[in-house]
Amino acid sequence: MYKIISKTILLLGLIFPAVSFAGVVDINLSPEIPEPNQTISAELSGTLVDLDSSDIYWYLDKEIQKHGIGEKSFSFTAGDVDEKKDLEAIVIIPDGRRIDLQRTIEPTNIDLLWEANTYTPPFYRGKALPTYKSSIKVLALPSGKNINTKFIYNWSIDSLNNIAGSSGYNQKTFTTFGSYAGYSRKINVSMTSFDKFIKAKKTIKIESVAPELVFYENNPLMGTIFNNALYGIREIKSNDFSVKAEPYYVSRGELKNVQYKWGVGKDRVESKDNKEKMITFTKPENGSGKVQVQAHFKNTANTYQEARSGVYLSY
Amino acid sequence: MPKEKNKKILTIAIIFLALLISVIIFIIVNPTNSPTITKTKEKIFLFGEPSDGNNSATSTDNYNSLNNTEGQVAEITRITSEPIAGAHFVTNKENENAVRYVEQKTGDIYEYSLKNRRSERLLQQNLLGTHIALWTKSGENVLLRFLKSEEDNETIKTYANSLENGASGSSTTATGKFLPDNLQEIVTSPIETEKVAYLQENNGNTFVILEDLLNAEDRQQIFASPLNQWLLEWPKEDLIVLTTKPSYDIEGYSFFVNTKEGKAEKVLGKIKGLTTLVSPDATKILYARSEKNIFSSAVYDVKTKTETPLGLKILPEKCVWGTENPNLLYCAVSNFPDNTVLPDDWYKGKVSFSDEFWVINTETGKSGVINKMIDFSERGIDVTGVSLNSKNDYLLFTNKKDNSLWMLKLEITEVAKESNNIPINE
Repeated sequence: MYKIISKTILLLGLIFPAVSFAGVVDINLSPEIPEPNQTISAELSGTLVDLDSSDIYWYLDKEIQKHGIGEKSFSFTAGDVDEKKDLEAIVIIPDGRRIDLQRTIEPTNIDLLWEANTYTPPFYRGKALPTYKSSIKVLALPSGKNINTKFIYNWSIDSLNNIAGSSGYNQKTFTTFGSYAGYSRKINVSMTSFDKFIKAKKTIKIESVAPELVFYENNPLMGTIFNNALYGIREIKSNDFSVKAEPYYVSRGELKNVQYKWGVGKDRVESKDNKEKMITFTKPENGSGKVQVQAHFKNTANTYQEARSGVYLSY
Repeated sequence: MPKEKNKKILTIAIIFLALLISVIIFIIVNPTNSPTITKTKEKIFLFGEPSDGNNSATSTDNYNSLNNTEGQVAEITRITSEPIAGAHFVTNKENENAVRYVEQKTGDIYEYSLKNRRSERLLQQNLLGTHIALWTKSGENVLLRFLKSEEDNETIKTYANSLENGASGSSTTATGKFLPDNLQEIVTSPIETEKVAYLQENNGNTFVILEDLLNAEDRQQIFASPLNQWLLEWPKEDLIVLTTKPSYDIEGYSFFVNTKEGKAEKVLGKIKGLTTLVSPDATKILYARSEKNIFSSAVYDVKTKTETPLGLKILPEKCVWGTENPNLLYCAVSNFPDNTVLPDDWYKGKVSFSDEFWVINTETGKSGVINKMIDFSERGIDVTGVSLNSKNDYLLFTNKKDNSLWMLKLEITEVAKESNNIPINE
């Protein structure tokens, strides 16, 4: 019965075209630019019409979803990427006139991929993480059928508005800088097609970390053994044992500014201009024991980029 | 009196409750407790009880074997205790199954015969500090990756070495060429061509290049990206997979790139700590998710876009897909706390595992332990660089703890048997 009435209303709509109430009643969507599979709230608004006393029908892809007096709002789930959904509201106001309202929802997704331009040792398979003031490149990548479409991008960061110079036609990358360790940068992008039909937006947070110093053995035949870090207590068998310090996540462009300070036991090891990444420990000729090797590195151009570590060598 | 009786009942009740809680906790915490996979209870390969010290390794001509209590040769073999840079199954010039590997200290190339269980040096190179050696499918070309110098940590060199086998009994010679410096990633073709795919950076952009090692003219750019940090996989001829370099609790993405058209398609995204292993027919992806207090792995079906959780903690880089039966996964599995910073700390060498090998049938959901790893040094084996021979009856892998090379003999398991009649890609 309910379906028959709703279909009759749609049919009547064809015989008696709806009164033009353009701008008098609107459908407001929240969010206005939905993401794929996101829940959307639709709500009717209009001050010149008594919506509370009106008979309201909600259709999704021509199927009745909700009906009732004063039913001004309706929630539904957006489709997948590029999946169209037609939302229609029919309002029968108390004097019998009919208002038709339509919206098409076709979610477009943008993925925000990013990478920090920080140092990791050669052959390292993990992501380079951002540190204070390190450069971060963000890429906006539309999904689905729009993956190769060129859009107008507007970028903003934290609470700042659009970044001039980084926004505009096909400006799909954006460069920013890392915040303090443990804090995040909020990157926002909105994307619009020329005809304004396709709109999408996205926000991500990128958290910075503290740089890290990791020790590795440097073997005269094998080179640096990146597979196994030196930590805790390490038993050494050869007479000479070289320890190399790797400054993870220092700004790549500032590696030349990194200084190293080394200590073995209670003694400080002097090195030329504090540029030595590696020291060699020689076992005493007699006896056994344990000695702590410590290192501290600092980026002299950005003193927040520093770290220290220590390892015991047992012989 | 009744009070004492009540006390007794109360004590018994508390003990019973404590026992019950312990059992429940054990069931929940037990890492092998899988909600989705029915385990086979028996270990499929048994080679006796773990060593009591008498079952020590014997080393002859660069390989060791482990004897079990019945004195039979166990199915796990350490091919070499010297650190290696990479290994690969081949059919040698005597038409026998063999393993070729590159020694890390020298860059020298060896061949290990599965028949007589001996290693023989094919080529002397004296290339100190070869970090990575990647073989083409034929085993005739090997890419040697090393640093220009230990002081110059920045320049990665890649030398493509082409082996020329003479007739049986004659010596092996080689020719070679350098590929461009600082290739961040390089993979070899999954079919019997001598092609490689690598990432080359230029002016802040990264290009995926296909190159035929035998024909320098045959070089084509198939994809470009403004981002540089990608990992590559090449599961089948016309498909290269780009996955963002992973980090704990940071979203990762995987893209399929068609090598002919260069078209990219997102297949996985927004998965924190994403690491992947794509099946040889590219219909399934084994992936791991690593985020705050959660580490999980699942098999994603590319066609249906559905996933099946595995209930085991698996790093995809410790696995290999079967080729005889593409539903089978062979994985080295460890138990580790969920809050381990993976994969970062494993890549950095800050954490290490003692693995056991499992076989997982992704079609039936059954899985079982193949073999517990027993290292002669009792430090366990942290498996990496896993590969299968063409018949799928041998597994080859490296122990990340010392880069020693190991081989495991596989036999038809209950898990594998059950899938023999299951059509592939049903």
